[in-house]
Parts: sequence; structure tokens; C-alpha cells
Amino acid sequence: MGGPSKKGGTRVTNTIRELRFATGEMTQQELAQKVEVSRQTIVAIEKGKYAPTLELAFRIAEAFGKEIGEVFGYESSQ
Amino acid sequence: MNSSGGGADFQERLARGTIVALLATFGPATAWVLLDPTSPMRAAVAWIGATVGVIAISIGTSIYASIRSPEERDDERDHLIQLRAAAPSGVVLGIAAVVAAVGIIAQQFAVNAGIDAWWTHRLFPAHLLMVSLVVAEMVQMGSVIASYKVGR
Repeated sequence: MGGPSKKGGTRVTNTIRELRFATGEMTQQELAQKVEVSRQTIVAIEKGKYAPTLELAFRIAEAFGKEIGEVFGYESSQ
Repeated sequence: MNSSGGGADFQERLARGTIVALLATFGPATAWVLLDPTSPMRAAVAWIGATVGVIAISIGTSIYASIRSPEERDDERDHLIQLRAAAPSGVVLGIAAVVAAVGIIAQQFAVNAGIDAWWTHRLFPAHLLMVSLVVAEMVQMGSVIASYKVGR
């Protein structure tokens, strides 16, 4: 999964980047417009810097036609 | 556009503009007040003038920022960043309020004791609160910019 937790990031991982390219090379801007956030927010989520709210996570998963668990994961500390 | 980063958010541009506006208005105003901090007329002209100036410049920078970033809209991350930025600003204001309160009390003691210093003047708490408001706003805007820079 992409968006790994790194220094200053979240432990919420995601496959947005992979899914964007698997979905006709969808741009960050196009995804942002679909889920009604700024492109910078998509950038931050992709990089694992920002953990979206549950509602936004569902909207992103819906934009790719996936279940939320297929898009987002959680990196356990153990 | 498919870059992995870059580009300032609308709110980041706005925060930068606000800091510039504060420096451009309250900087000269503070310097002018410091020439004679005991003059009520000087204080009134400087602080009211700077406040009007900063509002005018903020409106201008807001229009400029919306032209530069027309596609961006406020979302949940923007709101979270704004909320987080308010915390350190509140601390600055809290400290200033306490110092101003202590200052007013100290003034009474100083006046009763016949001490004549700049900090015993009646305008001192007003100057302190005005400067604190500006510092608090700058801390808040600085915090907003820092949050956008690190991406969260």
C-alpha cells in the first residue's frame, strides 16, 4: 500500500496513486473534483501526510468503485 | 496536472498575504507610536489607520489569491489546519491579557509611589494589547503556512 507512515505522517496507508493510474491515469485534479476537495488535499493524502475523515475516505473509495478497505489501510505499531 | 506536490493552497496564499499586510501596516504604525508612546492622538491615528489599512490590503490579497487559485476550494483539511493554528494564537492572546492586567495593577502601585516611567503611562496596556493582537494573528498565519508546508 502507498502513503506509508513516515516521520510526521499518518499511519493510514492508501493505494490512491496505484488506483489513479489503474483508472485511466486519473489526475489528482480530477480525483479532487470528483470527491470535492482541493488537489493539495489529495496530494497530502497520497503522501500519507494527512488522514482523511471517514466520509472523505468513503467518497474516494466510491470514486474508484472500490470498497474502503481496498483503498485505505492502517499500519499497526505492533 | 499530475504532480505529486507543489503549488500553494488558496489559504496558504491568503495567510502569506495577511502577514505581509500586517507587516506593511502595523510595522510603520508601531515605529511611529514608539516615537511618542504617551500621545493619545498618535496612538489613535496609528492603530486605527493600521487597522483600516490591514483590512483594505487583506481584501486585496484575498481577491488576488482567489484569482491565482481559482480551482481550489476550502475542504476538511483546510478547516483542520485553521483550527490547529488558532491554538498557539490563543496562547499569545492569553499571555498578553494576563500581562496587561498585571500591568494595569502595577501602574496603580507605580503612580501611588510617584514612579514616572513609560510603562506607568495609561496608554501602555492599550499598546500592549494592540501589539499582542497583531503578534497573535501573525503566529496564527505562520502556523497555517507551516501546516501547508509540511502537508497536513
